[in-house]
Amino acid sequence: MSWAASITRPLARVWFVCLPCVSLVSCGSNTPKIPPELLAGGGCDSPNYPNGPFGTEEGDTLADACFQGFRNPAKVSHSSSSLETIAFADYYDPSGSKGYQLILINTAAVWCSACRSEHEGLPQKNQEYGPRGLRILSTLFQDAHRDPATLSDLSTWVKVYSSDYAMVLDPDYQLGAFASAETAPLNLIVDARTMKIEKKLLGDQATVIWPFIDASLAQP
Amino acid sequence: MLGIVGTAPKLSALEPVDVFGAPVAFDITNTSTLSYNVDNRDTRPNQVATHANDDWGLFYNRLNVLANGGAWQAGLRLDNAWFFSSPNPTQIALDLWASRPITEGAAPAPVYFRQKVQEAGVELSNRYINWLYPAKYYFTYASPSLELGLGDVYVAFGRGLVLSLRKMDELASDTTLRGARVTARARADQISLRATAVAGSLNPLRIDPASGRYLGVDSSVTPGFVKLTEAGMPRAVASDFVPDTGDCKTFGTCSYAPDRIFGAQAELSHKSAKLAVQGSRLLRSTPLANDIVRSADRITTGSASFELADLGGHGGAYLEVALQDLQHADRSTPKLDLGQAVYLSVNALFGPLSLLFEGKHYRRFFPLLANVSPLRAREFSMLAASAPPTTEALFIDTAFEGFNTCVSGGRLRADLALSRIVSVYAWAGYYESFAESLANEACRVGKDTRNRVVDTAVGSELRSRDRRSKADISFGSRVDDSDRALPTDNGETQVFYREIYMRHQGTWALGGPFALELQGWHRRRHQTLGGPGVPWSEGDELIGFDYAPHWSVALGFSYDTNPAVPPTYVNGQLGYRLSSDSSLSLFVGQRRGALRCVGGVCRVFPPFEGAALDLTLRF
Repeated sequence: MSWAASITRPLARVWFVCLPCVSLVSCGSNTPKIPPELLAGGGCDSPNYPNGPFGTEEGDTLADACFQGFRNPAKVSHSSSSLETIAFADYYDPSGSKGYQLILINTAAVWCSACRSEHEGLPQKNQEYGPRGLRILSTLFQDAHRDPATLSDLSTWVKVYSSDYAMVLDPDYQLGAFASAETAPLNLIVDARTMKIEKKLLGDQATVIWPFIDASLAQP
Repeated sequence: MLGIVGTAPKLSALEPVDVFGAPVAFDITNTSTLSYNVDNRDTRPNQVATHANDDWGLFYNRLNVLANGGAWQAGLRLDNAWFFSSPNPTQIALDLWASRPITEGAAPAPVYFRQKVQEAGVELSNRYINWLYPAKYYFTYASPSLELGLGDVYVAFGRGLVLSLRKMDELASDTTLRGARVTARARADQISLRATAVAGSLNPLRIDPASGRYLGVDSSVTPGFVKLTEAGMPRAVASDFVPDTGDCKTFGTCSYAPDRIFGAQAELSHKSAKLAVQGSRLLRSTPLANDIVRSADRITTGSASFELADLGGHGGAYLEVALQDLQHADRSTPKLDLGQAVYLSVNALFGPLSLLFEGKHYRRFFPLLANVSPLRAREFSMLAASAPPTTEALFIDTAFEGFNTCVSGGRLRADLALSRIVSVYAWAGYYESFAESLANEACRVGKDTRNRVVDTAVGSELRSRDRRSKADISFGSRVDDSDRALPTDNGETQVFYREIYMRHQGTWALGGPFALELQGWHRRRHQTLGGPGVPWSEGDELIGFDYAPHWSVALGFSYDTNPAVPPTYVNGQLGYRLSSDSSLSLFVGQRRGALRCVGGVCRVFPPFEGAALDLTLRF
């Protein structure tokens, strides 16, 4: 037996004996204490919205969420005085009285190249599919340094991309349960009559998104 | 090129054992990693994922056992991950709340807290979970005319356009086909024929030790034969945040549905000429993502290739032409035209000068992306069963988005040996991609979709006369312009990407058992869409000192002026070689997060801070 083997083999025995010890280290738990102010209620308080259970997968009902933003950036000044509260509930149209059939909920970040290329084409799509019952709601959640997006970022964004659909700020990244921020953009296609998620896509998937929307809007 | 998992070059570590009257040699290798990740400084406000990768510890063990009985071999790789420490979703939400910046448009605190607990719960539902599973197992039989493989096999047909399943140590990737492979050979005079057939399900490594994430399957995506190949593999598990819906498509921790792959190749050789045809068919069960490739239920790819390995002693040439068809069961997904790919490689030798030209022309030609949910397991999102050649330098990581799926271009490299110790090289590449600055799966070719890329480099290699010392230094640039004007915050531009860089690598024998190693890559980059919005610099430098035959020590330093990440990283590494096959190494410090690519196959490595102890023992 070489001197190296004489070291290696006893070391291996010690190593295998020690393996179970490592797993024992993992035992134990610690439950963090939650301050009472975080356990209060609160939410969008939209009276007319489908009941849960809510979820984040295709086929699930989308939980309501509220944002501050511009409902139509093309028609207002891009200052804080023009900000209004916009909720998913605003697009809920069970009877079809608002003329909404589908909602495209999209996330965007200033650092995200796919988000930028996607928004280049959104105004044209909004013009094309808006009259047929599509509503677009895009949430801007981070700036170029991956810090929370600000009103200044939102104002610049809607100007650069001539956004004529709802653009809101989401500095908290409320849609985080649907997809991690680094996988942006997220696209959710939601049935406005039921608020059920019809399609959930990552990335700029124009080849898939728009034929699906076109086919869905063609259905009665 | 075909291979079998874990084939060891020599089998002399353990004495042969008599099994049914025949000698069988066993080779056992065990690699263990004990690591602890502290706060890796990537924390961003309101972002769960940047907290979920802090303060966790892992013991990761890989046991390889190989039995060799001459004509047959059998092997097993058993992987074991024990997470002895992991983050808590409530604590993550509390930490985020405590450091939450005051911003316009923010949600009320209780709403924020509930959302972040839920988000952290979902994020952690398939991370930091203990598993013990048979990562690879195989049995092979080989004779001059027949090779048979059962279990995990590697497959690469042609240059990877049709099928490419192999191990890439640089990316810690090891993807195989779990099933069967048969190769038959026949020879008459100077003509030889080889036929290969493979069938099985795709089997990537299921645990990513860099993130603690695993790939889980459930019974809805493991029907029939796949139930057998997935026996003992990690399963999707329900948690307080992720209910078991019984359907992988909606089960939040079900992140993988194994693809079934069938392939065949026939190869006819005469002297240095080789003609081959190869094809593969990928069949998906439930598609777990909606992009155009992963949502395809069936992908058929076929190619014909011709190789002249020797052009009269002056080089060689290789040509491969491929077609690809994507079929979608979902009627709303548009039917794409047939994908096409042409790849050409010619190398020529003229004394001290050697030239290599590689060209490509791809239209709607996609890598066979594995059926992984990028939403639930983003770390595995680049897993693929094929790797169309890029024709670029191996390390290039700046072919953005769908660059290689709709592209034409090529690269010419020249190497000139000036003397026995000095050689110089240079390359120039030109590419036109139509799927880089915008999504263009249909590969619509025109000025409104085109990016023009010029990639150049020059370098020099020096070697000492005794070959014990060497140095390689190169300088390169990449100029990537879009034909259409790109809207930015500061107006329109056609500049899509710019980079200049310097790479170097060297080893100096210092006399006796001592040697010095130095390697680095320093880059100045500018990315118009995405990125930090301003040009930035980044780089890595590693200096190592070897004291043969046992000790090595290295110090690493990295920097990054991108404001979104920490500016500096420092680390130290200490190694001790117990024998030629056994070693112990310790890494302590910080490592920059980065996208690493090898020949167009890329993987995102998250930033690491902490300590890692590796022990490899071969018996």
